[in-house]
Amino acid sequence: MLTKDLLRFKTSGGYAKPSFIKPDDPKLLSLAERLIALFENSIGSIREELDEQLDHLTAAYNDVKLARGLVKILLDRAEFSGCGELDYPAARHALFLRSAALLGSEQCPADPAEYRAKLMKNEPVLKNGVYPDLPENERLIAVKKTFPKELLERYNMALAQSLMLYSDGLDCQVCAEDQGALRRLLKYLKFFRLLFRAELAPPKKKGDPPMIRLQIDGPASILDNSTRYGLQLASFFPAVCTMRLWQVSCGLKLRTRTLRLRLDESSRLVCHYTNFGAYIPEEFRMFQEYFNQTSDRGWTMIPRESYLKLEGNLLTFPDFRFRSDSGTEIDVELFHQWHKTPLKERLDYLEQHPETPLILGVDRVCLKADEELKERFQARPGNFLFSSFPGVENVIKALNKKEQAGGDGTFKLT
Amino acid sequence: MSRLKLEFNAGTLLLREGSGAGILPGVFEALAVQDDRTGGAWRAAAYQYAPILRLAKQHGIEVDDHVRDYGPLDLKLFSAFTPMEHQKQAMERWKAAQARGTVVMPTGSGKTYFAVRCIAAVNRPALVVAPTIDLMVQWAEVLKKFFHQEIGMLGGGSKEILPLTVSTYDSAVLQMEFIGNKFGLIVFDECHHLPGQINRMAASMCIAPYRLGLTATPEREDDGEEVMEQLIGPIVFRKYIDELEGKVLAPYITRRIRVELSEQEQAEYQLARKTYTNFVRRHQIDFSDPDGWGRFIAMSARVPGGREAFSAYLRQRQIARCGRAKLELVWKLLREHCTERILVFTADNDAAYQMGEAFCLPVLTHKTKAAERKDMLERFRKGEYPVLLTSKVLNEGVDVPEASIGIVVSGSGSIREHVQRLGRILRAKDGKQAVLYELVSEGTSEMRVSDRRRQNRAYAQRRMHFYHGDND
Repeated sequence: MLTKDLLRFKTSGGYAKPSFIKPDDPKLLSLAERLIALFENSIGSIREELDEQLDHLTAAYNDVKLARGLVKILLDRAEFSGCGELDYPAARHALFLRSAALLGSEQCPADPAEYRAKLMKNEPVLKNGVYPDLPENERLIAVKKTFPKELLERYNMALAQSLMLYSDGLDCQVCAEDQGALRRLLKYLKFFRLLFRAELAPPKKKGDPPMIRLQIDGPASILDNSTRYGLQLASFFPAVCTMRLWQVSCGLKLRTRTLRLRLDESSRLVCHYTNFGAYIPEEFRMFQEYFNQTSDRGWTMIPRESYLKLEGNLLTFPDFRFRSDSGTEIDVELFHQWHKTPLKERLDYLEQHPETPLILGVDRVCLKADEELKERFQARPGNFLFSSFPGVENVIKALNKKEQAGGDGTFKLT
Repeated sequence: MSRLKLEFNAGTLLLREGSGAGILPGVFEALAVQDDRTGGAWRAAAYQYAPILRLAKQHGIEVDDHVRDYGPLDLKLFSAFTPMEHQKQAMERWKAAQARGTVVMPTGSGKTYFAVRCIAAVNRPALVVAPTIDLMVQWAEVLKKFFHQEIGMLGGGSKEILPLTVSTYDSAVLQMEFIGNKFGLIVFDECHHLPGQINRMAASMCIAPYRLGLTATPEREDDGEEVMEQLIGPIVFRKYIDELEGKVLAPYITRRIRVELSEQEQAEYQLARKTYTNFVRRHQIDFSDPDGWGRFIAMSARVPGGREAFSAYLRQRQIARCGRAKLELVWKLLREHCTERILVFTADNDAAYQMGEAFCLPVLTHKTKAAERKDMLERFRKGEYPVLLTSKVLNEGVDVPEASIGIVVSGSGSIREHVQRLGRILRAKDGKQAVLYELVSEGTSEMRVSDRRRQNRAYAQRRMHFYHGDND
């Protein structure tokens, strides 16, 4: 991300307008190419030399702040080493002992230059100075492969993210039809330990696809709307940009100013998270495979929307949906050992809405030493325990139990 | 009886109704807000844990408390010695304030030992939060010495939580959502750092009912003092340097020395200063405005003459802070005091390294790697290195009791920085006479900066005159 001094944005009507660049602008592509080449050709050089050359290059460009921003992104992708094989601290220690002895002796010269010359005479390691291993003397050993257009796209994303560091929460709308992407988006939310309120947003006009509104912030955000979760929000934001349709709006607290930022898919921001493919965790894949092999047990795993609509416009996001031979549809939501609080919240809801066609699977560790929670959990027919990941037999048994217990049975998505 | 369920959640508290519907928000209304993201639970800041329990007790509400992840300890104090009078008084006041509050005492007056006694008195798991890795390591050594047990560390590559743990502010902020319910006492060393927007999370996300702030300089220019009071407690005890001088602290002299620039440097300074100030005036940059500095940087990058103005700004600053005349004077003072332990302070790393190169002396800055930093401090304490040059990392807290001479080659206008630097050389030792030299380049902006930073009662009797051979 970019430091505060490198932010480029204009303000208009209380809104911050990031000064995005065009990733296919030939002039900018040429600048990006030159910067990348300079980094690649400087492998083995010391940081100070690289900085000097970068200074020349950026100073010659008419928008110095932009050029320095590109440099910052490349520096974040660069790796610097220590200063070689020599043991400089040991050499310095020997020198400091000599300097202490000379300073305290009657032979200490009045002229500091003479004093230094005396100490450095025959110095084997520190010939070029006492501190040759400072960070500015570190060597560039590698820079991650970056293409010019990619650098410019990363710049735009970094600019948006760097502004979001000063935000107290994100108000997102994403396309509800984008099921796979939505599921991944929610995984990222969990990963960055953010909380959200989800609801279906009414379409703006007839024919528009349904949108889901996610109001995202951190646990303590409702206590003081500070920017304490800014880094988590900014890190999460690229995940939003993988959606086909999206809008993000947030407030920014920039020193004395309060502004708003609004972005959508027309910003053409490109997510650079590489593990954003159609990844299915290994244990999920195995479960699906094994379940399909044993599908003669009266239940079929069926493709499902990412969310389950609860009361009002509230949404939840179960892991699997199953249909029995008699047509009953039941969702299954899994809670792992670190999901104790969401589990309590779900139980709170289900106790108030027992008709919800949802059963819960919980890792035993999550309920360890909490008898009260265990009791509440087991009171609901169909809920089941597992260790690490549930087995197919276990799930089928639970589904049967839930179906026998009744409830409203068939579930229809609104 | 109505029942309240209380849990720790990601650095906050969740309040739910057990039995007796209608207890929420009730008397807790001022402390908690309803969180519709969590199925209707109420949420409060973790530092409100003790007040919530008190309120519940007052109103006869039974609490189902799932918050605390700690119990009492069986701490024994080893190598304990009788506390000094001011330490006893401080302890009484802190206890009288329900063990929540800040104690203000000068460097060298035994803040650390006072905190050790507080930890022993509370006898609960304790977390000590310090601003730097050096200080954190120092705290770990002290706690180990007095309690004879392993000390957990958070920061500088360590991540081990034990009943007694030390942390940097940065690491405490990062980890508090996971460990905020594991300590009964939290100690904030140099607690004037706490009110920063990020640092304050180390206090607000922790439930510790007992809280202790330690500082020599609590004053802040923002609303920080209020934040400290809210998150730690009020100032319960205060002692000034001059009240303890000659008793608990070493007697001290401050000497401010005017340094004349050479003719060539003077000319160069004037020229650079003119280029820089002309640019500032031409573009109406106002440094009293919070955005003034940012504007200067932005304009120097984009308008004609900006780069020259910025270079001129750096050059005039460099001449004033560490010109040739200052270097010569530092050398003279080093030779004069060559049998004593000397700390040399500069405003920036460049000046420290410039002197380190010129005099072949150890320089300790944030760039110094951890192992070498530890080694340098140890050798300085032992006397193997009689001189240590530093920019800002030794301003606060790090214990160097043997140092008796301080030379401030350059510094900011911060009163706190200047008082802290004086504090480095005041730890009492038999027959020790501490001397703080302050070198000021004559005819430069340093004159004003020096006056600004001496606005403290530690300098009150010694403020007006420049040293010409007598004590200032």
